[in-house]
This record gives sequence, C-alpha cells and structure tokens, in this order.
Amino acid sequence: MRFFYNQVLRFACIVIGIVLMAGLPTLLPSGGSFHLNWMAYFQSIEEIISGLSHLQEVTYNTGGTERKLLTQLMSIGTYSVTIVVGAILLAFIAAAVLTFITMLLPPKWIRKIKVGTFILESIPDILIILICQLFVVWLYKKTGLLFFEIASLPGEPIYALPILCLSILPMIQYFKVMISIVEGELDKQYVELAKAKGVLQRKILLVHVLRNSLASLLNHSKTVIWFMLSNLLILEYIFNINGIMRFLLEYLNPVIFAWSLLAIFIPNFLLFAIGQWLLERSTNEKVVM
Amino acid sequence: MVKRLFKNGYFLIGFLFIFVLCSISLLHTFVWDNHIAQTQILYENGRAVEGSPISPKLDIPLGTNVLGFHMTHMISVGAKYTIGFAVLIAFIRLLASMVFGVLYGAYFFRFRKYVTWMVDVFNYVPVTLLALFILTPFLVEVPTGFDYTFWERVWIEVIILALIAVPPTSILIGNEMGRIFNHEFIDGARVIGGSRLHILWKHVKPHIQPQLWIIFMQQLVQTMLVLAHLGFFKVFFGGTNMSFDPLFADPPQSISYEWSGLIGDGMRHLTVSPWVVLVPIIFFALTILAMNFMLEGLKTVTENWRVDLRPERSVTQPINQVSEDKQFIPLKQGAVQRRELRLEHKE
Repeated sequence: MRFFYNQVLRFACIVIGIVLMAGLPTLLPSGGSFHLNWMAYFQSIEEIISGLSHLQEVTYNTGGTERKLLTQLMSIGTYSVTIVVGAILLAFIAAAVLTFITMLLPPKWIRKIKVGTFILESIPDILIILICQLFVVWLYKKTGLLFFEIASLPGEPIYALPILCLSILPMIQYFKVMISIVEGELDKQYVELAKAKGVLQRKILLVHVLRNSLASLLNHSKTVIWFMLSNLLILEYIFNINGIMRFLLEYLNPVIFAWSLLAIFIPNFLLFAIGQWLLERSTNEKVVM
Repeated sequence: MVKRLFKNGYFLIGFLFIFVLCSISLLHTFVWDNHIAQTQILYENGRAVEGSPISPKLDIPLGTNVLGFHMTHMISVGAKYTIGFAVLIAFIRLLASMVFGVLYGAYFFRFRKYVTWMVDVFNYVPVTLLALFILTPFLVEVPTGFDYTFWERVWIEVIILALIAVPPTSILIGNEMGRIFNHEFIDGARVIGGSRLHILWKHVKPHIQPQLWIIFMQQLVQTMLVLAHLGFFKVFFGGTNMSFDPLFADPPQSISYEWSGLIGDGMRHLTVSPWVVLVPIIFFALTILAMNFMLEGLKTVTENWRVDLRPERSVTQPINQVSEDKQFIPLKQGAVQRRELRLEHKE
C-alpha cells in the first residue's frame, strides 16, 4: 500500500513539473524587454491545465485546418513508443549477450574491451545515426541490396533501421554498466561458494549474477531512457519519421508540449513502476528511484 | 593535485588536444587575421575538374563547403567560440548549482525524497527538446526581424542553456553533500560546537571539491552535445538568420564560424557531399572524446587523492590540542613521544 501511495505521489510531482515546464516560454522576456512575464505565465499554466483536462477538445493547426490532437497523438505515440521499446529491448539483450561472452574471456582482454567501450560511448548520437544512414545508402550503391528502408514515407512506417540505430548507444551504455556490475557481483562471497561447489562459470553468470544485478540495472535504465529520448529526437528528424518528437518540434505550443511529454512519460513510468514492484517482490534488493 | 593530473595519461591526452585546438584557433584570429581560403573551382592541367563543394583532397584536407570555403580554416576559426562558450555555460551551471546544492544539501536534506521527485521531470525531458522549446522564439528570425541584438541573444542563450541544467545538477551536488554530512567526523565536529557554516567550510568543502571538478567536466560534455544538437536543428549560436525572399530564399546562415552553425549549414547537402556535415560533427566528437578523457583522468586522480588525504586529516588536529595530562595513558612511555615528535616534524 505504501508503495502504491508513493508512486502516485511521484506521478503527481512529475505531472506538476511538466505543466510548470510547458509554460516556461511565456514566462521569459519577449519583444525586446528584459522582464519576466509572471502574469502571462500563470495564464498559460491555466490554459495548459484546462487543455490537460479536456483532451478531446484540444486541436492543433496544420496549414489552416484544425485537427484533433487525440487521434494524432494515439497513432504517432504508439509508433514512437514501439520504436523506443523495441530499441531498449534489443539494446538490453545484445548488451547482456556481449557481457556474458566478455566475462568468459581472460582479464587482459576485458581491460582492452573496457577502454574500447569508453571511447565508443563518447561518440555523439548525431554521428552514429548519420553514419548508419550513410552506410546503408553506400551499401545499396555498392551492392544493390537495400537491407532496410532508409526514409519513411507517409503511410509506410519503417521499423528495422530506426530500432537498430536507436539501440546502438544504449547498448554500449548498458554494456559498460553491466560489466562493472557483474565484476562487483563476482567479488562477492556467494560466487566463491558456488565456485567451490564446482558450479560452472557459465551457470554462475546466467543464474545467480544475472538475478542479483537486475535491480541496479533497472536503476540505471532511467538514465539510459532519458538519453534515448534525446536520440529519438535526432533519429525522427533524420529518417523523416512521423513520430512524437517531430510532431513536438513542428508545433511548439505549451498544451501540445505538455500532452506529448505526458504521452512519452506515462508508458515509461508504468514500465518502471511495474518493474520496481516485481523486483522488490521477487528479490531482496531495494530499488531506489 | 594539478601535478598528478598532468602525470595521468588520459588527462594529458585530452588536455593537449583541447589546448592545441584552442591555440591554433586563437593564432588564426590574431596572427592570420581570420583568413579563410576559398576555392570554388578546382583546375587540373587547365581543365576544371570539380566545383565546390570540393571533396577532401591532399591539399584541401577536409574539403570545402558549398561556397568553396575550406572546412579546415572554418573549423579552426570556430573552435574557440564553441569550446569557449561551452566552458562558460558549464561554469555558470556549476556556480548556480553550487548555491542551490549547498542550500539543499545542508539545510533541506530532510525533504530529500520530495525534492528529488519534483526535479524528476528533468529525467523524462531531453535537454535538447527543452532548449529548442525555450530558445526558438529568441533565436530564429521571423519576417519582422529579431527582437534582440546579437550580443543580447548570445547572453540569453548562454543563460538559458545554463539554467535548464541547474535543477538536476543541484540535486547531484546536494546529494553528495548530504552524504558527506552523514559521516561520523561531522558528528564529531558538531559535538565540539562547530556551526553549520564552519562545518561546511572546514569539513565538507575538502571532500566536495574534487567532486565539483568531475561535475564540471560532465556538464561540459553535455553542453557540447546540446550545442551540436541545436546546430543540427538549425538553431545556431547567437541566432539563425533566415531569408524570407520568396524567390531566392538563402539557406539559414550561421553568423560566426561556430561549429554548430557549420553542422546546420551543411545538413541540406548530406547525401551529395557528406563531408560538409561530417567534418564539424567529427570535430565535436573528438572534442567530446578529449573531454571524456580528461574526466576519466580526473576521476582516477581524485580517487587516489582521497585515500591519501584521510589519515593525515583525522590524526593531526585533536592530538595537538589535548594537554599532556589528559591524554591516554600509554602502554609504553616512549610511544607517545615518538608520535608527537613525528607530528611536530611534519608541521
């Protein structure tokens, strides 16, 4: 019960935060003056709150015609969330497999791999996404094989390449964290006991260490997702994807900003809350959010 | 500590890269007077072989942009603006977050849970999106022109980019401070009668200082990333000049040769001449890598530094102040004397 109460309170805090944030552009000075417009800020917050409570009536303007926000948000929102969830699952699984393979290697190699991931992690997301796109085009020019659709057209959403591109950097981040967590776990006594009993290294990693490191991984996932949302913005722009971030960029309006952020935030929040609940039930680890 | 930093390989590599880049950039302005070579058509044996944008060649190492200006020169002129402003923004972020972080860590740490939840919004909103949302009205020209002058726009951008990262950074600093405040030696200082400010200055500061440097470097990396992203969305540093000529609309222009502007300028030519975009992005990547190297060096050095610091700090002060007769009765008379001698020698 306490858990539930805490989560509701946390949810409320974040929604209030989003509303306050969405009003910011009206607070800031405009028209050549240097005064903060508090009055306009309160007005726009009022507007946002009324917009939040009447979702069915919120409209946006495209080239002169008014359209309902709700229908648009449903279609593009599900698409963007599919890409994000697909990418994060892919990143997680790929990183886990890589970590498993790495931990079976000799220590000298592990150190080299660590330096490598450190360098890879520093590459900005723009560069990676651009290179992915250019690489597919180059491959097509050379071999005539088009493995993935590289740009999305209206009515033909693409999945494979965006998910792949979006998952590269999170995969590297997950990999780095997993290595450090697993190394920490391997120093613990239960691993020594297991080794002494003759359990294979493979089995120790897959059964015991994996289970015990899930809580810290969930903690870290928050940072990874935050980082991914930033990547998503770039990705949707480059691949011409009609997703939620691009929609946001086109209509920089407080009510739409607030609603789109909520559309991204709510599935994320639910995922984390459920994950935390499950983990705290099944293992003894405490997840600090 | 500085000496040790420069002995650390990672830090040295990162520092040298940024130092050399900035020196060349400054030399370019003060010695070569911002000269930027222009080659619009490349001739070979009297025949034109390539028009601008010219692809990278041996004598034009990074190629030219659409107007024939050499990328090498533009990168070199722009380096000091990009790196300079990133450092400035990161510095303001650090200063502002220190004020709020100290307030939160020293006085409001009880409400940790609620404060963290309130600031949690920043974990669900990409910084780039927030920056675009707030900065677009200031920085993208509308048909009636800009509302602010160039330098006003630059300062508005610096301040806004700095402030949007202050809440999460304050929480970071505050949490670190709160952690230090929970140490046992703080209880000791409190029992002896140290005020909160005294404890803050004498006991918390030495522990938080290395952390602050690390946070500064992290913010620097983040600022560079945000600047690259903003340039990518054609919101350039100091404003984007739009052309509203209905017949021959010029592409958005960057005002200086600042790197994020170079990215935005080249975006339209991505498929035909990718180097125009890739060169500034690769330089961003290299600079960020260099900063991360510095960060890594800083982390290793501060970790070792703290281990060395501890015994000295906890032993010296109390023993000197306690008078002879109140001391513990030593098992061997000689032991204490030796200890005191050693301490005096040290001071």
